Amino acid sequence: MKKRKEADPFRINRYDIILTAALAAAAVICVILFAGFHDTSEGAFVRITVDAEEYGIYELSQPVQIRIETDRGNNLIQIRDHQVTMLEADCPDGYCIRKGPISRIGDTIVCLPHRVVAEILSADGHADEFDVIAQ
Amino acid sequence: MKKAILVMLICLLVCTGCSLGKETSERESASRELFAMDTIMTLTVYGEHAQEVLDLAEAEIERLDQMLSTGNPEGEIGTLNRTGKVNLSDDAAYLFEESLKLNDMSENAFNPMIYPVMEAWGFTTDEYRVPSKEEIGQILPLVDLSLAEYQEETGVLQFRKEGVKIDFGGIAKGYTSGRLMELFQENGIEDAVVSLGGNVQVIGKNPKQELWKVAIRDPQDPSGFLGIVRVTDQAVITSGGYERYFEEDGKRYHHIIDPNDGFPADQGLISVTVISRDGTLADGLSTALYVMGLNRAEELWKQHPDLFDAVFVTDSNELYITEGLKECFTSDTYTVKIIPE
Repeated sequence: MKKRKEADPFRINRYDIILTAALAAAAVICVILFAGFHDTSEGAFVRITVDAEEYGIYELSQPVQIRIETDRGNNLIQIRDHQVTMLEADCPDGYCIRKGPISRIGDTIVCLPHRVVAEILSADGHADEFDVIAQ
Repeated sequence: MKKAILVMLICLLVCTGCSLGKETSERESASRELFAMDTIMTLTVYGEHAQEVLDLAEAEIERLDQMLSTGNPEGEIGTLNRTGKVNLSDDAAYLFEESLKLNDMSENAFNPMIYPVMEAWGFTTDEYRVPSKEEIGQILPLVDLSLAEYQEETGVLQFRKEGVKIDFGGIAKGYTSGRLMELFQENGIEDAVVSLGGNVQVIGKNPKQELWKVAIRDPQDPSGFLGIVRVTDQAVITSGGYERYFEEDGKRYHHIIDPNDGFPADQGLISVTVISRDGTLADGLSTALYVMGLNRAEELWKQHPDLFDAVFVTDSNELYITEGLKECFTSDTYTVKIIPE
């Protein structure tokens, strides 16, 4: 009688390879998702508003200088090295210039006299770590 | 079978990943940014008719701004400072009464009559200067609440001396945020967050149905936070010399003036945050505790632990919280020291 060949439980077959590959892929996806959701401190965009109206949303990865000229006055905002800085402003107090560069989600530069606000956003346009800032 | 397990595993892993993201509620919500009371305000509300409620809120802010602004000569406070006499509305009468309480409990660390001294320093016009000790000495006698006579029956507030001026700016934003919370609740809004120039007040829960997470600005790092406090139905209001200051001859002069000597408060604190259900109290106390310094602030808290909690940062970089915040305050940047009751 021909002896039926028994399946070797330790032999690696192609399903095991598929399973391993799939698990590895899933793990990689998880790591990416996890990193994406938790590394929220550094922003991806800056939203600039003038008198509470949206002026524009800019990527922090694209160096650019944005000149804003309104009846209230002039501001020059710079995006460089993933940071946003108020480079020039002819406002009387100059607090916006003194604020220095910002890059973290939720952080803002406010030029109150000119009603210009620059706010750092995350990749999906939100701040995740907290809801609001007391200052 | 193996395929099924595989599919299940991937689903499980991917779904776990997804659930780390946002679970924003589907309820109606609205957000608004506006400029009033010399600052920028953001209001966000969740509930039915969110936009209409924000219209009401904006009108209420406008009303209080007109009434309380020292820069509006026709407003209630403007008229009082110009003529020395005015008929107080209910709002202003409440602010006056609260000022008396705050002044009393803080032993004059909070005083709304400080306005003439603020003028001497140029903090009211942004034309900063350092006044001489003699000049301050001449103005300081005006900083006295007994020079304001309030008759409850008639509602008339009258100054007893020439040159006296009052400014509720130290509690006006806290009062306004408190009024907004009342207005929201009267109109069916359960969850809301407002920031009136960094003065925060919240009701209910955040969109993830958790406590509101309020990050507090780090006085040492203008783009960082000293910690996060998780709260509901509370005002979170911070005072710090870093907010507004000028420099002259290499010395820094900040805007929190001690009413007892007329010079910038220098009692070893660089930031004070007060957490309280009462916005007016939180606003006034954040300034008062800053002026009082850690030891006296601690004593005051121990007399009223149910009224408020506080976070202090000293000029030697130590961070203290009152015991009531033990479970809801976290900091990545500082070692947290707890002040026991």
